[in-house]
Amino acid sequence: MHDQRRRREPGETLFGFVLLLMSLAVMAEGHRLRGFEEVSAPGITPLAAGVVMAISALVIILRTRTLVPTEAGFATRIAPRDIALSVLMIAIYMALLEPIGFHIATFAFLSALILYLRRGGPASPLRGLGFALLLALVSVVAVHVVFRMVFTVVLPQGWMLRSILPPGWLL
Amino acid sequence: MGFFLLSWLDPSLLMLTAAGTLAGIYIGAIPGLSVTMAASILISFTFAWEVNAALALIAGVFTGGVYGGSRSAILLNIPGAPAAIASALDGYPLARRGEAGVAIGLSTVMSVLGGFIGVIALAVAAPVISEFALLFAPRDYLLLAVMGLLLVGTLSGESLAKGLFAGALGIALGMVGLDPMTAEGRFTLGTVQLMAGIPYVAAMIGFFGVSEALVQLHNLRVKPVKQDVSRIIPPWRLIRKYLPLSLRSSLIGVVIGALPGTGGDIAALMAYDQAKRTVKNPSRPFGEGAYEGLIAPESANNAAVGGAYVPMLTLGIPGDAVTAVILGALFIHGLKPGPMLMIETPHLFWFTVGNLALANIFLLVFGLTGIRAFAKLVECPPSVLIPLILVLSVVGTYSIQNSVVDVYFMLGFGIFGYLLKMYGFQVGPVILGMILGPMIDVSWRRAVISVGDDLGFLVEEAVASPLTMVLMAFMAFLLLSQVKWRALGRRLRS
Repeated sequence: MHDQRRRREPGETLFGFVLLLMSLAVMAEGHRLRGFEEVSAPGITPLAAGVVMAISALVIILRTRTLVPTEAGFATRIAPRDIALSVLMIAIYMALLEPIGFHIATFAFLSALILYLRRGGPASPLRGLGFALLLALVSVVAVHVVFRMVFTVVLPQGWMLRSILPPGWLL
Repeated sequence: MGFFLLSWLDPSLLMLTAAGTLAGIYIGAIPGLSVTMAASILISFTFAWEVNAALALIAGVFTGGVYGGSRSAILLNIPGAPAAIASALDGYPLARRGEAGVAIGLSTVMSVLGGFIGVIALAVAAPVISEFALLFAPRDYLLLAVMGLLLVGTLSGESLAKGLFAGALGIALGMVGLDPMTAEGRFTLGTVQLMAGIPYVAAMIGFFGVSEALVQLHNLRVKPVKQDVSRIIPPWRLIRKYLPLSLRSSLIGVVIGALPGTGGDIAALMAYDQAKRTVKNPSRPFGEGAYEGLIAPESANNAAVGGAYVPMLTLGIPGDAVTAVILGALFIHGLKPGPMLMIETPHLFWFTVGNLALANIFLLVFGLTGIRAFAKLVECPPSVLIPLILVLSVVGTYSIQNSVVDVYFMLGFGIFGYLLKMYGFQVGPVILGMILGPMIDVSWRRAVISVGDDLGFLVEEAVASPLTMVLMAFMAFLLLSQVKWRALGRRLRS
């Protein structure tokens, strides 16, 4: 993903402008904290960082505009279905972590994502499902043993489960 | 001496170093996993541990990971780590000739040799530099932090503007929270959650773990290349023959690794370049499977590990992206890397030296065994690997403060990091900025407050101080060298 490519990625110019806006926001915070007034003000470093960001963003935008654009669209190059769906699954997984707990949420997330990413492989759909479920189960057990039991990390237990199951049942 | 041998004698530390080294070899070797990613995830699990245990594990992963990157470079022509880019140039041609076993064996022995030279350099140089650094004033610390930021030059890939943006963005992110000098809120948007600052580990895992996993989703259909690996222990005559080259390359690795703004990748590339220029009759032409072309970068990149610890422990500035993350780990454990580390916690320094030496011994053991199982694991498909990385990233981030908000931060940084990578940015400078930003901020403000906000007087004081002038000259040297290193890196990588 280096800059050796000769073509402009879809959405790259817009991204440059987003970065420029971020730079201006950083500069504004520096200004609010008296960055322009005193050399030892709390805003001096944010202001300096904002200026460097803004100049760099301008250079990046100008250079990007000289590149020949790729023919493929944003949905093909930057956010293809695999990426978009994976991000969506991660977001759902995170949202479910506290309600249903780490173990069930992780099992469901791993099964679903492995099954999705391995689609179209040489294995039959049933074998693929079996593999995904088994791997997800083994992974959840392994994470529980290593992180809960060895590293004593407190994993989310799930407030929904807590209201259903008796206390001794929770991992 | 007792602290040097601590991890050798304490069974739990011994086990952790062994486990870290073994895990590091696999992490470094599996395409899609990086040492930086692993170190950032590990910090989240180990932050509540006793500091020696955490450092033992992380040092093992670092040592093993730098070496492990050469495994996939030799077997698959995919450098598992930036430090292994040069190893692929002759390592893969060797594997294609059916000499994968000898190539791995040689790279193991020479990596260990390089690793030991790095450890010796760390033990000898660090106390001297540290004593010298005690004389530093706030303006000198500012210069040191700016020197550390020069790493942006080598971490920024092909576009310096993008590297500068990422570094400055990191500095801005490092400013989030209450100002340590006036307690004024910076970038807090009036929320309580942001007053303590951006969760550092969440940012690291997001930028290095999640974003890399998302980028790897583009390579789902890439089929792994299978390699037949048989004999691995290299013949003694080969080791003896290439010992002088290995020692020479190790010294290059130590010096380059110790310079702020460089790292194992530059060290390996320079050692490769040096070998190519000086070896008159290589076993084969360079690029076609010359043993010399594998030995030089492998010795140098592992020697650079010890070298990179020198500025990190003595001056508090990272030598490369991984030491930037380790530096973060030291801060999380309440330590202050820099000259005071040697005075306040000398035991920690000698423990680190001993631990790195031990990790190199384990590297030799694990590097020369279990190669068949290893070859299988390297072929692990991304469709299995990526979901597991994502789960580890989530568990790691959550476990820091038992907070789902941190996990959302991590996902946000992950998606943003993914976009940065897709548009040709490197995420290393962001983390570097986050680490060095607060040091730059505080050092600058202390320096100008000490002269009553009079910049003219600050310049006068700086010019009158021989130490500051030496540091400025060194910084100018590093700055000029950056141009040379970037050009060299581009030329050799191409």
